[in-house]
Amino acid sequence: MSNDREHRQSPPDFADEDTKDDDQMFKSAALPVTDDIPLSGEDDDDDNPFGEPSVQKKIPTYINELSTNNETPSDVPPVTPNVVLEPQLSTPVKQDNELSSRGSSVSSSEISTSATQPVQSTASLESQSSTSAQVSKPIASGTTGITTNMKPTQKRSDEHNIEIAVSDPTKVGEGMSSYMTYRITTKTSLAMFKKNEFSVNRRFSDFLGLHDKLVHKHLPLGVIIPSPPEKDTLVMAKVKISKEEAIPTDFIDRRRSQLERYLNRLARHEKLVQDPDFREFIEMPTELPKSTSTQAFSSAGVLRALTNISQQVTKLTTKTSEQDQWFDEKHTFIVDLHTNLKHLYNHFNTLFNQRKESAQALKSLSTSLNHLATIEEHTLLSSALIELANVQDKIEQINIDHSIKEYTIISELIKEYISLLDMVQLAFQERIKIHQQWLNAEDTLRKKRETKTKLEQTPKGADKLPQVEMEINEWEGKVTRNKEDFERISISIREELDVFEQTRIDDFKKAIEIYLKQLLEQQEKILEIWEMYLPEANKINI
Amino acid sequence: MEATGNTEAASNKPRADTVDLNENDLQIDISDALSEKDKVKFTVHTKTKLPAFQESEFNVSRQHEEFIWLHDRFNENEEYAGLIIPPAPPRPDFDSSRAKLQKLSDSESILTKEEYDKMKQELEAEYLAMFKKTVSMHEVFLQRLAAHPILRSDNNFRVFLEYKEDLSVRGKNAKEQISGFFKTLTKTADEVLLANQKENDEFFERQKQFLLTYNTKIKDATTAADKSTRAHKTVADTYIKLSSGFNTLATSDKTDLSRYLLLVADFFEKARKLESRVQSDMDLKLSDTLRYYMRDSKAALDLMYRRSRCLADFETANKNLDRARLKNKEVQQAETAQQNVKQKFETISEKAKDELNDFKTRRVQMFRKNLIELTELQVKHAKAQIQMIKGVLQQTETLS
Repeated sequence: MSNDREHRQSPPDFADEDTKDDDQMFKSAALPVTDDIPLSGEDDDDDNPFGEPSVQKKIPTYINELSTNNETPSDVPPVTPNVVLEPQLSTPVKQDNELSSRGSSVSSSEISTSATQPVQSTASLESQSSTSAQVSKPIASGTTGITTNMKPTQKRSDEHNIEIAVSDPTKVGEGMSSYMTYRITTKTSLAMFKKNEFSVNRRFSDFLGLHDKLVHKHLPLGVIIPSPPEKDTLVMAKVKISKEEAIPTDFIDRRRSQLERYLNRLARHEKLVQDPDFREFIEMPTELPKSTSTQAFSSAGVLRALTNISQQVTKLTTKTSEQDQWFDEKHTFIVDLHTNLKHLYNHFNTLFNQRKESAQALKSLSTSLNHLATIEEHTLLSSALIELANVQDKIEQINIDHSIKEYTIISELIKEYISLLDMVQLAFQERIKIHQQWLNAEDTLRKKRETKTKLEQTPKGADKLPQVEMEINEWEGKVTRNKEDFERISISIREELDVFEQTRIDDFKKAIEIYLKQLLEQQEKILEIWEMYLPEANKINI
Repeated sequence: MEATGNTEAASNKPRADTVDLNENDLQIDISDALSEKDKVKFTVHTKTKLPAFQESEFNVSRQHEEFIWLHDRFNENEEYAGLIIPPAPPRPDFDSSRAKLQKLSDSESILTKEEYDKMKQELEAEYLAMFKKTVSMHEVFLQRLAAHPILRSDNNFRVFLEYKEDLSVRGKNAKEQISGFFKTLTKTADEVLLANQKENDEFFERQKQFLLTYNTKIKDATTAADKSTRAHKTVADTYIKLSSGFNTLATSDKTDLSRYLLLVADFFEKARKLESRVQSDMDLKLSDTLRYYMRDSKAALDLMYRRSRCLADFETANKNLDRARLKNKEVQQAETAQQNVKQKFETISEKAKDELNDFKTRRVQMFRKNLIELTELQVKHAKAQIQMIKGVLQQTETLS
């Protein structure tokens, strides 16, 4: 392990000695293969049906913990090693991150620009939830020295070098033809963008249009594409019709927050962040051509609905193929996870509404206590009652705040994952579709060959032979292409799923931690309020 | 549902702290209670030094109806017209609890086993809490009677405490129920008529106005408090579902995340218990206090009514006397009648003054006690929650 360190470009640090020891300790845990992993990453697939990164185990401290679980070694990344290793770690950390890193070399450039990523040193669970996009090799400007270490396709950089904010929802126009635009501000250190910081305005249909384009391009390649928030015609109609003051702000704000998460998720996906449509979306200052295909009742919409149906039918009618065990298991897992998350989401929604009702009840209580206090003839009791009413008021505020945060931290995350899982399933289906195409092509090829043999046996058929032979060639080509497509999508899905799992783990860990801290804050505030009330209650005397 | 509740002299009983030096010579508590189908049997335990009683320590078994019988005896007794009769305890009502349990067993198939168990546990705890409450309310009723210098010497009271057999207080039959209903109706109508009665005494005028408004406002506050505690309980119960949901996620997750999810499931479980306690203490200390004083202020209003009624009668008697004197017919009768009513009125007024002042003292004391206890408990619970969350956070840190 220590070998790798030497390759690092990062300044050797005081941490050096310590890390060496750590490394020694865990050397056995680390897989031997390190420096020479070729970029292609095919080997990795063979080794790790479950996406265990063959290489990155360099991260010492956590390996022990993780090794208990079969699959967890792959999850090395999330655990950012202790502070001590920090400066050096900007690099190794990147290695750990599994999946798909093609342009590892970028890391070095990223290190220099983002040297201030101390966040990783927190003992917290996640490794920087955002995976920095691994810019592909050609774009990389970093040293190649590091390259070798970053090879395993399953690595993922978790350095945060692009961050997108969505703000200022503004209503443009009036009435039913109005729409909301959002300001998209990107801060990035990635070289592929012209500037480090830039802003554009986009409307909601632009987001949907982007999604369509991305799906069209990347789904056949087996990419798991995050999806934007859903179009909600009913609520939007309300927004459109309402006057300036009456715009339902929480809906708009929720949508804004969801759009933000959507864009950041895209930015963290190393293939998608490089997509020209995506880059144009966040970078190009001019208005994008209106995507009519995203309208609810457009022809494209109808087409989409039909495609959905046909996909469902395909799903039901296609038989599963061989080599499917990994995919089979994963698919079941995905479906179960989807169901469980949906249930949990519903419960959180119920909770949200109940909290709202509880807050309202508290408010009524506070009011009625105030009224009682005005009647109460004993002055000290009266003031104590007024103070109690205040206590209830404050607690109501705190509870509402908490409820909103709970929604943002947990509910929205779960919702995101539910739609992500939908996209995962879509990718799986795409693979099955391609497989079917391949099988069909082989079928056709066989038939053509049979025809040829038959023709060869008849004297008359000889003239038709050349054509049949041409067709056979054509179909042979198709078969090969389909087979390649299938293999490519299978590999890609495996990789994507690994990244997905990693992100899922990171996201949830992070969310859990933030949520718990938020809960702590809430209780501390409540405690403070009651403690302040105690002397008030004590003031009452006869 | 059968349950036995043992009630200790719980702190949530508003002991009547009237200035009664002889509180110790008549001590009453409900030492046991048994819930059978529709009825609850209370074991009333008395310890006394008073000579009127045959023994110094004894137990009897009483049901709710017998408490009501006792209350009615006090209420109807003219001698006590000038006193505030402690409000009767409400009927033990486990219907809602039973309905919830029914609903739960109906939906048993939909829930996971642990969810079902937890919700059942929760319902049983709720039932137990309600049970304790009803016991406490019956106890408070008796204790207030025992603390009152005049009421405690009542014969019916002694019989209630002492008589080993059933008091054979049958529930009111149809005829009695109807007559009771009419009585209430006439009383209400009467109250309306008397509402505009000219009151010369400033003290009573003020008291009447105060009590009328106070009763209304405190009724509102009680309803609001009940609604609030109910809403809070609903939230706490949903935590069960959340805990279960996270558990399901954890078991099907083969990755590192599983342990975190388990921590969250555990958190919701613990949080539920704490939130339940927060809510139930709110209920006991605040809602119940409000409720009790809603009833007590009504009892005070009843006293005011009786006095008003008597005053009206007094004025009528005066008029009769004047008329008799004018006609010089049956003057003696009129004079006697007038004297009686006058005396009755003056007794009532005198006692009522004391009672009303006492009412205020009692009220302030009880609110003070319960508000302090409420606050202390809420502080305790908040601290416990903080501890718990810190613990969970610590565990997440060790995991990472």
